[in-house]
Amino acid sequence: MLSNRTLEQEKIVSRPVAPPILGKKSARKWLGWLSGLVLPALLLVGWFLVTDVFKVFRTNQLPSPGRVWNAAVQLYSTGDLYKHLFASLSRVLIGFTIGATLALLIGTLVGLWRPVERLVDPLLQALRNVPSLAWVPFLLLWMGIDEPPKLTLIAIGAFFPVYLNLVSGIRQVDRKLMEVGYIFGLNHFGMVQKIILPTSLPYLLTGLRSGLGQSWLFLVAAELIASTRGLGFLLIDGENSSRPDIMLVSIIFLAVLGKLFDSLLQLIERRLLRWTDTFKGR
Amino acid sequence: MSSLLTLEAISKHYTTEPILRNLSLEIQPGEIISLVGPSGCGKSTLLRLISGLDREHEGQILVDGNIIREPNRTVGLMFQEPRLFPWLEVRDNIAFGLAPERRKHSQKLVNELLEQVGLSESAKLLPRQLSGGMAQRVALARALAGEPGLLLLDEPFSALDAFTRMRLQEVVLAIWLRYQPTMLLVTHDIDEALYLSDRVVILAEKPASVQKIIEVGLERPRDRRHPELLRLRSELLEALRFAGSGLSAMPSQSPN
Repeated sequence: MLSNRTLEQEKIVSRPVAPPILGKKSARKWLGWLSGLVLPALLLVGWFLVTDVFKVFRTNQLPSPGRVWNAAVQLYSTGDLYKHLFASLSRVLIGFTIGATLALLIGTLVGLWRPVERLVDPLLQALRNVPSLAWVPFLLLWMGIDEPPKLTLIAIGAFFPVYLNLVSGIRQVDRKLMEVGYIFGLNHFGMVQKIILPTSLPYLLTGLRSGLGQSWLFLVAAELIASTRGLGFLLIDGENSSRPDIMLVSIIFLAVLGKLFDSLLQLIERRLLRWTDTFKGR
Repeated sequence: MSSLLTLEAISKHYTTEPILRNLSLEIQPGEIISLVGPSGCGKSTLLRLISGLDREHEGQILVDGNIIREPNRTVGLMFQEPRLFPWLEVRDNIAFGLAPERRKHSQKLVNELLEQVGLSESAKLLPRQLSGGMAQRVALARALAGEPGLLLLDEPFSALDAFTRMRLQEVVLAIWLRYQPTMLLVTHDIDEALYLSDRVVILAEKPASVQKIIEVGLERPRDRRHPELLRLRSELLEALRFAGSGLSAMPSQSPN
């Protein structure tokens, strides 16, 4: 018989390394987070140098950071900034939700059943190659110039990354794990719920992140064409009134909002995918 | 006493190649039976047939008097690899095996199983944090959670080092001493077979059929160095040589 001592030994050896002292860990985390701000800060300094200090660019080419800040403050004080932000945000959220939900439904069906794939996938793969702007004239023709064509365009943008990633995720399911499911008598629904969806989750989340990114791209495409509000409209409006400072306000907001939303999904991703055992970079 | 498992003249081919030929065997409730035989002789195929994972075969397989048409909860199967769900903690991997009607008490049942396989401390770990031996313990607990009438073990410990393997044999034995589950064990380790089982079934080389059955008439737990086990060991080796095996345990094989 084997002694208790050896039992304990195996446990000690195989137990994962205890987390380091919290203070040290969180300090490193903050440092890592701050290092992402280094390049934006340098960019800001460089921008300041080529405008205000060395005057490489004229103000009507590239306004200084101070001017852009003033433009933003002015937009804020009139309430326009809020209006444009709200318009764009709600379009992205609604359009993304529609597109991602459809992709979830269709992607699940296509991933699970070959006949559905043979029926649906070729068409979707062809449509995927149509550039976003090519849709615009038709969407305007069919839906008018109000919200529906914009939401549709954004939904199209969100759909494809979610769809493609989900289908390939479902096809990644380990046949050996499915056998475990069969052994324990899971039916088809149980297989999907307990084995197939968890396996495809990493792919789905990648798809959602890239779909959300696409939504922002398609948002601007939609707002550039026909709109009276939104960050895309702000861009066009700045161009028409020769106000590059306003154009930059719009661009900066697009970049920052896009990053914020992506970070949010990334946070969710990290929570849900704690179990993955993959290389996460050195 | 009626048999728990009856194999009647089982034959199977992959395309034209015969895998199993006319294999018959009976297992009584509460028995541990070991299947040994040359590598690739069809032992795993046989387990897959009994579990219902594979279906195409001739002959009859009866579990508790019923024909197995597809996998169901009366037959459990533990694989050579742990096959744990990487997204579930140890506790939830084990709970996966529970029958739906037993999920109400899952907390208590899983705790018992964790204790039996010696993993009470590790309930919250994820599979990626486990050593090979621990992972296989979890797989064993999950298989037991299903309370199968017949538990099939397909070389469950063959990927583990000798020391860990012996520890797991003790775990299996302790569980058997407590509940007497019926087990059919495929193994390459003849000492494991002799240490655990009531009967050791030696299969002939492909196509597999029953070559010889060795009865181990000793009470469990057994002393691994019991003279009777040593005698049976050489009998087994002799029979395996006759079965056409190239087992590494065989002393008679020399290089070139």
